[in-house]
Amino acid sequence: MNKNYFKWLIRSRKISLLFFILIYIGFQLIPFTGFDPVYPKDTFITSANIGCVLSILLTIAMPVYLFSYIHRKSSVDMYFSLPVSRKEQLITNLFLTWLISYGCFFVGTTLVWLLRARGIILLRTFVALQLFSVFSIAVLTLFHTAVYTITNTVFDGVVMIGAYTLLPVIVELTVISFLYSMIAGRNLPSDSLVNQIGTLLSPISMFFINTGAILEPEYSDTGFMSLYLLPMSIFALLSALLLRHHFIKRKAERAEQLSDDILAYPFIINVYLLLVLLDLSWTVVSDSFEGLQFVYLLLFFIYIVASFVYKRSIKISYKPIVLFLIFCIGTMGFAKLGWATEGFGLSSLPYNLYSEKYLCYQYRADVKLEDLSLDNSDNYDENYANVSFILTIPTENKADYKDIIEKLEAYRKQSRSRFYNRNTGYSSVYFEVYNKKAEDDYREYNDYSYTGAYPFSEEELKEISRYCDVTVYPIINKETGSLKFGDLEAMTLVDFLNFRQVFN
Amino acid sequence: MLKIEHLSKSFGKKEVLKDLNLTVNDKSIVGLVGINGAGKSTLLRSIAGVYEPETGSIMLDGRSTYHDMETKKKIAFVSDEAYFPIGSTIESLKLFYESMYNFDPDAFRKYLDMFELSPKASISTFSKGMKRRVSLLFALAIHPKLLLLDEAYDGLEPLARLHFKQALTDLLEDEEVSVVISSHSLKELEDICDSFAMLENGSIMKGGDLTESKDNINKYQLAFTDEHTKDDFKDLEILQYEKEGQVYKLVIRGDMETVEAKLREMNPILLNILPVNFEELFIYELEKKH
Repeated sequence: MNKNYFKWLIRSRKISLLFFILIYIGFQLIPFTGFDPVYPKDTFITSANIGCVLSILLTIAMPVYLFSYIHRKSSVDMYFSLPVSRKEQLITNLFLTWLISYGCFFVGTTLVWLLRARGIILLRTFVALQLFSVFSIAVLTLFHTAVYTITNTVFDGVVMIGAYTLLPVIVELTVISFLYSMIAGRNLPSDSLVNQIGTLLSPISMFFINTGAILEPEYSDTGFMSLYLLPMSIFALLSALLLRHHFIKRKAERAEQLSDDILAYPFIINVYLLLVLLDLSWTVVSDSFEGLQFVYLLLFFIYIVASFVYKRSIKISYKPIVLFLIFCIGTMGFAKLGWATEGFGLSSLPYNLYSEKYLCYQYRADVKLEDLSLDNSDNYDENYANVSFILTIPTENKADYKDIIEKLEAYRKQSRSRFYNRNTGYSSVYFEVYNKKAEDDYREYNDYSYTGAYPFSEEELKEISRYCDVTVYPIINKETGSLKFGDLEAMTLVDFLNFRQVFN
Repeated sequence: MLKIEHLSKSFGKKEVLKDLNLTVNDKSIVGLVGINGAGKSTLLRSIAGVYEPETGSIMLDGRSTYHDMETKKKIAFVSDEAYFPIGSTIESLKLFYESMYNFDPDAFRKYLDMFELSPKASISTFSKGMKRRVSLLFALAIHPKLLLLDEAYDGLEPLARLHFKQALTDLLEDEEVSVVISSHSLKELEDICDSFAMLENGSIMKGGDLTESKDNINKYQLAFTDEHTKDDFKDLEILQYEKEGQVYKLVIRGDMETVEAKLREMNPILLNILPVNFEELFIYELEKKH
């Protein structure tokens, strides 16, 4: 780090830095105004969460503020001819960004902790929060700076930071869409890394999730994930390599040119297109889809406009059009292959049935009043019944439930087949299998859910009702004889069958 | 001494500087001339360490101007596009130069008065010429060993030009400084440069001592009683040939006395010898090349 350069940065930017600091600490102290002595911990947690958000924003704003000179022809001349090496400029700017982003967080959280939460938040928790923040804010500083320097103009730099921040969300949505649309039962165990792909690609998510786990372990699904330290370190390492190429070895003449680096627009535009097309193709292949042409046309226009923004020209060339068509055909082919192979074989992976203390089967269906084995999804104007049950089996007693487990597992296999042979139209039946750690635990593990299953027959429901309550809720949409709208409440299966006999 | 050897620099596929060689001696002012796009600004930026040489080297007193930070401290570069951070004043910029260079407060005050600049005014309100003065003020206040000026006179009004020339002369008298100036105003360069480098297509087409080069090219006005053609002058290196009636106007390269003796052998009834200026030298050299 160059001391003189650092001193000059501070002295020349003291007003704006002071502005950032005051706004930051001011926002962090907002929870004080709503301090509730019954829940003093909440003041600290809210304040720390506000601090996290503001620090993330600072790790974006500060690189834009400090590194903008590389994007202007005139300022490049001044800064790159300075007797301060590029490496020193980089380290000094990064250090200042980190110092402001973390320093404000430290001052704000320490103030709140000392004034309001010292007795409630343990010193150990406070120190853990600070240590993790030191590390995370350093990673975010490196990452956002690296993304900013990939480009050649300030505008493109800001766009890229936004695009790279949003990218994990789009990846996550595409994966979720794949799991729901293409794999019967979303057949992946809870601890599969695929479920966390969006988080693992986002240093911001990892920062938030682990900060939440430190502050409120009782509400955290996973607890503090030490695993995240590895991808975050990889992010830091990759960012450092990018910064070496895009800042230390940067060609000064790149300023104000098109941002045509492979990781800038060419990557972002095409990856976004690919992900959205994949998303679309999952839906198209797995379900009948109305208005398909309109969505593809809209996507094509967005893609062309993005190309205009990248090229700063409204000239249409054949290249993006050809690429768009190739992507459309490629993604559709890929999705069809996925459907034909039942989710690339993932739906046939062995189930994780007994990994937790409880195994649960949940069933919900809208069926005809006169016959509970007939699906009613196509006629909600008529009278119908909503049948549901949750069968909770302690895994240590699974032998006692052997028969019913076998039947329900056979039902699950049938549901899987029906998922890939949907010529029966839409089904209202929803069937879910999952694990729980405790009977009253609201969290679900190894959650496999099936849509499009067939409704249980009354005989099957009667058998299930030997193990758990089967609830039937008749919905009366048309007044028939003595039956009036809103007359009925949910009832057990036996009560319902008796009621129906009387009613008939 | 600044020594540039086999310097090349490309922008994408376009090679802007090609195997360029140039030496600038201490206490020398070199005028860098060339048509638009010849590579003048690229050469100055390369010397200043903004661009990394792709091949070759740029050494000031034997040390790289790109890699060696102590050497960079001795270089003042006034770019053709002056940059001042938003809201900066001369006082705030002073902080910057004090932190980075060997800043001389006395010289700063002297040139501040000379260029008639207000230290507290916001530079963004300054005219182009005033901004140019600010850049020159700081370039001179750091006592550079090498001063690089891109389009040095751009935006300066006559009095400011005069002050600037005076400042350069003072600097050269007092210190071991070398100056490289690029400008399209060749008349202005002629007043202060002792040598020149003519750039074309990324390499030095012609260079050296300005007075010697000018002495070596002269305009000759002749009149003969009989008719002559261009072939009659084929023993001489003619840069320009023009005939109006019986009067011949020739620009000839070569030692003035030798050329004169050869022309007198042709028995002219009139022979006038006129010196060329830097601008004419530039034009004749360029025309000859094409």
